[in-house]
Amino acid sequence: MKKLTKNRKAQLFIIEAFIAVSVMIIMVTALYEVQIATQPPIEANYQEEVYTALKSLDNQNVLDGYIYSVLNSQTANITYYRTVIEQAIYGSLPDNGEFNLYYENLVTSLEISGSWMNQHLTPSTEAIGIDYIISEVNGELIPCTIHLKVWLKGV
Amino acid sequence: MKKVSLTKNKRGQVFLLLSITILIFLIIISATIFQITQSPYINPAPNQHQLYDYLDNSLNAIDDLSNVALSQLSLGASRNDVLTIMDEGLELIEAYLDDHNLPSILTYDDVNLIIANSSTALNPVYIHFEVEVSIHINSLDLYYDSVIHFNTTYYMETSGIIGNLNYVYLYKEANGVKTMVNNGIVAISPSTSVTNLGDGRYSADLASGQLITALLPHNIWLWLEI
Repeated sequence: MKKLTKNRKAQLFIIEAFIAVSVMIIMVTALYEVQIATQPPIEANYQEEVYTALKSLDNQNVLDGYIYSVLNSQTANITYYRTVIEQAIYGSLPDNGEFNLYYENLVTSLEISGSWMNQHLTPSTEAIGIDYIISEVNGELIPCTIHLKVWLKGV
Repeated sequence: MKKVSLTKNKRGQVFLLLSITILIFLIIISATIFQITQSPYINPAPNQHQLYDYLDNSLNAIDDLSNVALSQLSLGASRNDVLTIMDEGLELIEAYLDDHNLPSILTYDDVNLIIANSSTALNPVYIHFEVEVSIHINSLDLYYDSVIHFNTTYYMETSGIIGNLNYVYLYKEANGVKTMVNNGIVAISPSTSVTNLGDGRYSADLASGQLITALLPHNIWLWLEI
């Protein structure tokens, strides 16, 4: 058997193997770095705040109280709940934030008439859509989806 | 130059084998790295937060089914009525999740569904609903598999005489957490004045032969005969 120090081909083979492994490591590292560097920038996200506001309104029985008032044409309660909902949603948006919403009955897939808030406002093209489901209205199974759109004016 | 046949060239064969092995290793490593980078933990979908919100929202909606069941139970619904409410409610919530790219299966075992509405003469009176709902969501961006225990009881209890007045207490226990209900409506027959103290206590002059009625949030009713 030849000694490694004297076997030129074996030496070359080992050097080649080292080079191959090094190239592989460099390539993998480069791929990883490129992937990290090309992450999309983090944008200001008010969607979470709006969702939290909706959840809080739901837990205070405001979302189902509003639609119960609409279904039973209780004008004074409709005004009251609209004010509460507006305060909560505007409070979770930046100063130039706007929104509109309506309720859809999940059983009939029809919009609940009179449930619109801010229907006259036209959402910007950058508007974010948020859906929120409620299953109970005053102790009855009346599943509804709230279709909410939020956007920033002048953006 | 000397021509060598591959079948006779042992070094060539070893080199070829090594090349193929290295190539296979490279492919496996690349595939693994690709899979890792595609994981929702490392590279979440743009709407990952929104997907979690839909899941959270659905859990709230399932919890609200408890309130429907309790309300209907307090108004005289049977166990079968409650099972129908659960079936219809879960089906609609499942459809809602499906519509938001979260293919889901929501099930419950009616053997584990417990309802109770206590007699109207034994202090405290209570109304109870308990169910285990199994939630399975399997989408590319969100995997969720869990069994959630919903356990809600509403109570009405009267105190002994404290000073000149008695107290009616309204409280709720949900999954072991007790909270006082301060927005209930308590009425006593024959007509007796009731003051809501705002902390779950309702003070009134109680006497034997009275019927106390409590209207709790979600249109849930309790009766107690003294």
